[in-house]
Amino acid sequence: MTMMHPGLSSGWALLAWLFVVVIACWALFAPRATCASRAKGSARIGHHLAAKHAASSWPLLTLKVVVTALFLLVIIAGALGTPIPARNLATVLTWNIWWAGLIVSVFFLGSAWCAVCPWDALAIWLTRRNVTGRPNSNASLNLRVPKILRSVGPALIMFIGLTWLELGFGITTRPYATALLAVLMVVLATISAALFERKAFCRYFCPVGRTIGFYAQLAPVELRRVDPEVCNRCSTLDCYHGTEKVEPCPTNLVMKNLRENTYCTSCGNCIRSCPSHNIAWNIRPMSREAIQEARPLPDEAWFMLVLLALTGLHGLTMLPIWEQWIRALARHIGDSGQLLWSFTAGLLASIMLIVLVYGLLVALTRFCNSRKVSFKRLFYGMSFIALPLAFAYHLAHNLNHLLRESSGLGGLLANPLGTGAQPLSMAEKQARAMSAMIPQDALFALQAALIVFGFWIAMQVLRHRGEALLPGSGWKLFPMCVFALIMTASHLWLLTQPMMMRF
Amino acid sequence: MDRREFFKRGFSRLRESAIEGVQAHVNTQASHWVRPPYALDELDFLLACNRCGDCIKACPHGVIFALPLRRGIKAAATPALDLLHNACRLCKDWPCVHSCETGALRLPECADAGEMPLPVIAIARVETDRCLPYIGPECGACQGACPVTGAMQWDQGKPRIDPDLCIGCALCREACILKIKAISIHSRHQAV
Repeated sequence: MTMMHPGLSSGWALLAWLFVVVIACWALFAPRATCASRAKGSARIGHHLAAKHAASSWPLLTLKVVVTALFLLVIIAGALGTPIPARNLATVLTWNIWWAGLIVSVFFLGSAWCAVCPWDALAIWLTRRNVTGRPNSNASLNLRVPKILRSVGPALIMFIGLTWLELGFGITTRPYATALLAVLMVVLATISAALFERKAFCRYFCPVGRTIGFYAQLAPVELRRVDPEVCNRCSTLDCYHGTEKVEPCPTNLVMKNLRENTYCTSCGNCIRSCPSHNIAWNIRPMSREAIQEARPLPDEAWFMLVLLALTGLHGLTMLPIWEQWIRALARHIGDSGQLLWSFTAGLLASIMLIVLVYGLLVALTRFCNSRKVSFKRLFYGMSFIALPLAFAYHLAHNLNHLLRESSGLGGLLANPLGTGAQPLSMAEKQARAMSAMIPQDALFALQAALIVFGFWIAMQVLRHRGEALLPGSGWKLFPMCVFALIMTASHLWLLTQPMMMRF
Repeated sequence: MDRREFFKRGFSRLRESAIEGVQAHVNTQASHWVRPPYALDELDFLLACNRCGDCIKACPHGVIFALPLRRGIKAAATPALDLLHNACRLCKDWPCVHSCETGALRLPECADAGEMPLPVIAIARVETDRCLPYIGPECGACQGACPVTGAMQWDQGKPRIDPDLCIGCALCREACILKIKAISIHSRHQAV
């Protein structure tokens, strides 16, 4: 029998909804003249500290080694250990702690995970056979990534595949399959490192990296140039080309003009390679990048919309009604066993539903504004609204997993393979369900606050991008606001539903 | 109009059209290469240049090369700039121009007025189907490479080259990080 986590209490949900409605009214009716002049400041952190660390890559390398050791332990535990998911380090560490905590880490540290990622670390160590400094460039074929793959498309497909494995195939409760997936990711990263120049895997193919990258646009930290004048005078572009000792930017970024976190992997190579020490970590308001006039390109727009659909799907699949639909569909098409075909159809349908609703409301917005801009431009330009909504729900949902299901790690580290362990008894499950890391009401408050926060950023995006795309549109942007309201309402509703404990 | 006038006009018309024809022909030819800085007009240049190769030796960056014979007997061994692989650094003292004894490369007359106008060498164009900010994430590698104020303008992270101000030194092309450069260099001469 599975335990259920109680959902968000209706009091908190109503309070959150109240805030959301107030923000929506503000977004539509408050004058927009003031929003352009919002503070653009960001504080530099530890420039001197960074400069000192610039001399060595040891702190990062040590972290990488620790994370990689844990990763290898996950593979060993998954491959050789007990099939009981709650007693195996592989499943608990991977799905309850890493996969849930990853998104929380983006909220504080941006794409910091990418800097210590064991997939990439192992791939690079295997192919370039060099731990510090600039590796021998002959260790890879250094091919250019074919043009057809040079977008976030491959990562998007991988991400849909990962969600399918997680929710459809149920990899989260199978230690052996978890270990196989871990090995598969390293194999893919290694093949990519052996074939393509720099870190093409991180840039184009990694589903986790791209998801983190998109969410990191809302992160409070950024790696940026300090003085634009110094960059303007620079003709060597050491951040892009690297130096004799420091590797070039793994994802082909030039720091001169960088304004988006999307493709930065936080490796800090640019800090170490810049001869003028002109790169620093900054702390910034979380909505700063969101309200820029950056243009989501077609591939990025699709990624954000699918991200929104898939995060919602995480909640949806834990409801009884989803089960009913899938069963009905399975009866219809004669699916049996794990109902994978029906699940796949459900997954694709839910993605299409979100895109369809979004598309319809974009068309309505265009109609309300007497068709001043093309549908395509509005569709891609407004897609950024989806990002904070997805991020907020993802965080709120993952807080449940992280805070309620991460107990018992100490015992697992002592016995990672779960040798001789029994499945969790009812009493233990009961005890775990009760021993959340923080009081339940604090958790609910956090979830409600996150949803309001996501909606607030979405509204800021709406105001700024709306003003850029359709100047003087005012309340006529309400269809896009309705889209955000629908998504927020369904997210709140999903949160109020009791959620099945993973194991 | 008397007979003398008739022949005079007729011949001068004939001469003019002959010169025009040659000029057009030469200019069409010239659209295939780029001359060193401060070169005379193509026809005058071809007449003045004695193919000595001094400017090729004088260039400290090895940008100037001699045109091969397959470019035509008239242009063979005359100097041109290899802007596709290298940029003209616009050296302060113009060693290539000073090395030219025949005056095929010649500093403008108004040099004593203090500020010497920069030579117009070629013209650069941003290839928007390749340039990163047009098709993907921001780049900015060429930002700051341009020696002429205002010739390269930035609009929302995208570079734009003003054809009236661009002198075609190819410094921006050299800064471009793409393997297939997103800035192309063209001759100022239009192929007819």
